[in-house]
Amino acid sequence: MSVNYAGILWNRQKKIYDWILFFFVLAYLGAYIGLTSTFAPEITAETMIIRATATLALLLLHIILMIGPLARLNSKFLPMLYNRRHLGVTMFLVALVHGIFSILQFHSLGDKVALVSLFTSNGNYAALTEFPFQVLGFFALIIFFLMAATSHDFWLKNLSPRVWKSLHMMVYVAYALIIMHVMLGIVQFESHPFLYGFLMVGMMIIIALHFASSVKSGRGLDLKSAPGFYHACNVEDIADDCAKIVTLNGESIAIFKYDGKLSAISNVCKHQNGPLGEGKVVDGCVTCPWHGYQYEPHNGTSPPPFTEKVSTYRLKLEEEKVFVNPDPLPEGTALDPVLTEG
Amino acid sequence: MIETIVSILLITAGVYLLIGIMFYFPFIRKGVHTFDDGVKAAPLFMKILIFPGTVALWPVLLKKWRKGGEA
Repeated sequence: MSVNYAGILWNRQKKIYDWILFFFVLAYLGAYIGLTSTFAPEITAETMIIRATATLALLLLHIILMIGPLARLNSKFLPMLYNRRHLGVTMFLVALVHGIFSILQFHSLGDKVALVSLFTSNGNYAALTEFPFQVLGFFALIIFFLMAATSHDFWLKNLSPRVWKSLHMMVYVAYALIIMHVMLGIVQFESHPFLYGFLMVGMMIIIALHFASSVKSGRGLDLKSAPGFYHACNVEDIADDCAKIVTLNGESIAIFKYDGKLSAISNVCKHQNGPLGEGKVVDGCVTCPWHGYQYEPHNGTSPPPFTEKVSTYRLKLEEEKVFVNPDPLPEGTALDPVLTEG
Repeated sequence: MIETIVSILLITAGVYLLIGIMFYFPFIRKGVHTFDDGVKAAPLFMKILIFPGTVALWPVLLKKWRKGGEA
């Protein structure tokens, strides 16, 4: 587990995923440029590239933001979640092409330095509809760059999972910037209402999916009234060697049933924040479905010689009802498993 | 006025990134090994992959390097 880094962690599924992504990107750009050349031949090649990459990056960003909640709502979407990183880097590269061509086309032909022109060609910073939307896209691109640049495992380890996760949650800030970038661009330069409509539909789908998955996983419930145990599920709800995932007071907890016992550990793997609760108990260890990191269920500690540790949680069993205390114990704290069979 | 502010900010960002580029080479040769053994036998491709992030986040890594050197 604590091993040498690889360039990219390839496996068969990831290669298939990446080939599909590669051909999708090529097909989209080809179709966009082909259709535009046919139906609007007056548009220049640079403008075509700017628009094709803008719409493609926007589409990929929407897909990226949908994958998380879709996977929480239906496990069939999990394979998409496991390789979302490559989708994110692809989206950044497409957005980068859009940014470079836009700066070349609109800001490099004057007497000012291109980046200075980007920030000063439209000085209506106090206006709402006339606000320089290009600047918003620029800052979103900076966020996408930071996310893409830190997508390797090296950064997850050396920035710490908490900082890394916070950095990557900035995607929502970038999304808000992109929405404003596109909306202002439409208001200032476009007359077709369908572009605005597509954007609104995409935004509503993303909000709806996040809300639905949040309700499903129990987030947002106010359970902070008193320290204690909360009903998580019944014993029969958990398949053998599998887990039930619950979210209480912001803690994502995986309750495992194995060998007639129950143990609860954090649902978040130390490696890449993978969903431990979607893994199985293999050879007595909880095994992360993403990259196979393992933890002993009773103490949340990786078997020697590895050193990763996750939090554990207290459990109680009353008849068939499983109760969990959502206050996390220090990582690696050993707890006696709760016996399900007398 | 706004042009002056933007120019100063862009020059500052440029200097910051230039320092990051210069930082990368001693960091990848020596510094990173003081706190992360996983890079030692990593392929060249991995070391290239972390180049953009190193240029952008070099103060974080410099701090870790200094801490690692003290340990």
